[in-house]
Amino acid sequence: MEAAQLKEFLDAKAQQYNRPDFLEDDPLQIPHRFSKREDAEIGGFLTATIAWGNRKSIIANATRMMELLDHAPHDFVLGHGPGDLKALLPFVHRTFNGGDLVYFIESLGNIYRVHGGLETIFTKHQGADSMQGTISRFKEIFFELPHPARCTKHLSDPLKGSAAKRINMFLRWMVRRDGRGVDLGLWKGIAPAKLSCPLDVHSGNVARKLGLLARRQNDAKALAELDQALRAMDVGDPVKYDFALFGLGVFERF
Amino acid sequence: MIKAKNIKRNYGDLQVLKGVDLDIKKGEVVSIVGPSGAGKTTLLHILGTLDSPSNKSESSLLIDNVDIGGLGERALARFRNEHIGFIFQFHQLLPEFTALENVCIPAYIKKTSRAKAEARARELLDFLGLSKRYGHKPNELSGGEQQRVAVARSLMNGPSVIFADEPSGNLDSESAETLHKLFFRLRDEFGQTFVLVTHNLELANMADRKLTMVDGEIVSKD
Repeated sequence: MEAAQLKEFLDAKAQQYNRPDFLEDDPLQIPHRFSKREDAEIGGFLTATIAWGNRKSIIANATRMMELLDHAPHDFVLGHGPGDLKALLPFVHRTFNGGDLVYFIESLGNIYRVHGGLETIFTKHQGADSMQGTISRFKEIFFELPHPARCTKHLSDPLKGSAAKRINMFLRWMVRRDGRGVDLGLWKGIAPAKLSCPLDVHSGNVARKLGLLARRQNDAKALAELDQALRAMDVGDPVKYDFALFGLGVFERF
Repeated sequence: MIKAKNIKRNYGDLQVLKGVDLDIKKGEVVSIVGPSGAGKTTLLHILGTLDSPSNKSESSLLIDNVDIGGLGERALARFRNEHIGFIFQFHQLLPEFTALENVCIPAYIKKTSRAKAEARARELLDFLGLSKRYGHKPNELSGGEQQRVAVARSLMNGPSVIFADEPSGNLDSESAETLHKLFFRLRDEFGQTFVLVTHNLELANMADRKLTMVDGEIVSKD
């Protein structure tokens, strides 16, 4: 495909999949259920944390998680008692278990009580042109309380070579604001130009077939390469192409 | 051609820009220098319309007499593509496409005809000494050549201004010097305006004006 066609093709695909009916099968529907900003942030963060594997099971387990948090995650992280946390222990999504969830709730409580909330941390520590260093800083803050070592694997660190797909996806949800009713666009203090694409095996393979990515692994270096290619096509909103890469991979078996 | 007034940018309670005023004339090459964390890239991103000030109602940014704050998302994207060129430290070229195709992309976005876009791209690549590189992909080009392709791309739609963030940060000294001379040739021959963020003092001192930033403020305007 030639460059002109590629850009036109990806713009069309991004438009095709960046529509509210996309939410029917997407974990992003979970934070959409909340009207209070903090609930959407926390619900979105926890959902993104378990967003690997089968999408139906992600949505089912994220829904279960929201039930356990009484459908009021912000109140829960601030006001829970020890007995409330016990009720979380049976939760499991693949390798993310109830013990992990308990630490995540405690840490989120600390983040909203001490650090002003998720938005404040990401906004305050944002880079001048990228969020990858910010994610690494966020991880340090997230694990500043005593925690079981096993929990740390559920939050990736881009500065240690990870593409950090889930947290980049969470940032896409919170930051992109195009008025199309899919991404939430709640965090207006961060420019969409700074975002990176949630890179996983599907979007990576599609990007390679389209000539946007040469590196074979789906790691931080590949993400940097993909970032450059997507910025070449839209420097102000590079991550809109995630819809195209994802849709082509998952729905069209591209 | 660029008038910025009272640009402030906060990240949480951290004030990265503390009320910057700027006036850049057509055909000027202006460099912005200062220590890391002084707010240079943030300022460049705001001037380049990739980010917006925190104090929108108390600040203003005019480029080519267009009030940037008054543009919606789509109008802004169109304005950016047609009036502003960018050069970054890393070239941001599509890896599987030729130099010629990469240069054509902004014209395709603008819906310029293919023949017209390619003719202009060839002209630009010739001017930048890349006439033998039309069909090469980025990984077949040296770092300096890749960066010159990025310069050609930034010039494609005849932008009013080019913003460059550490354009030679990734180049050896010889390629950096070639690139720097090129900016001034483009200014001398075509009246091209440049705003350059750089740690390279040689480049900064070649500029018509050097703005020094410290702690979110411009402290000198030589």
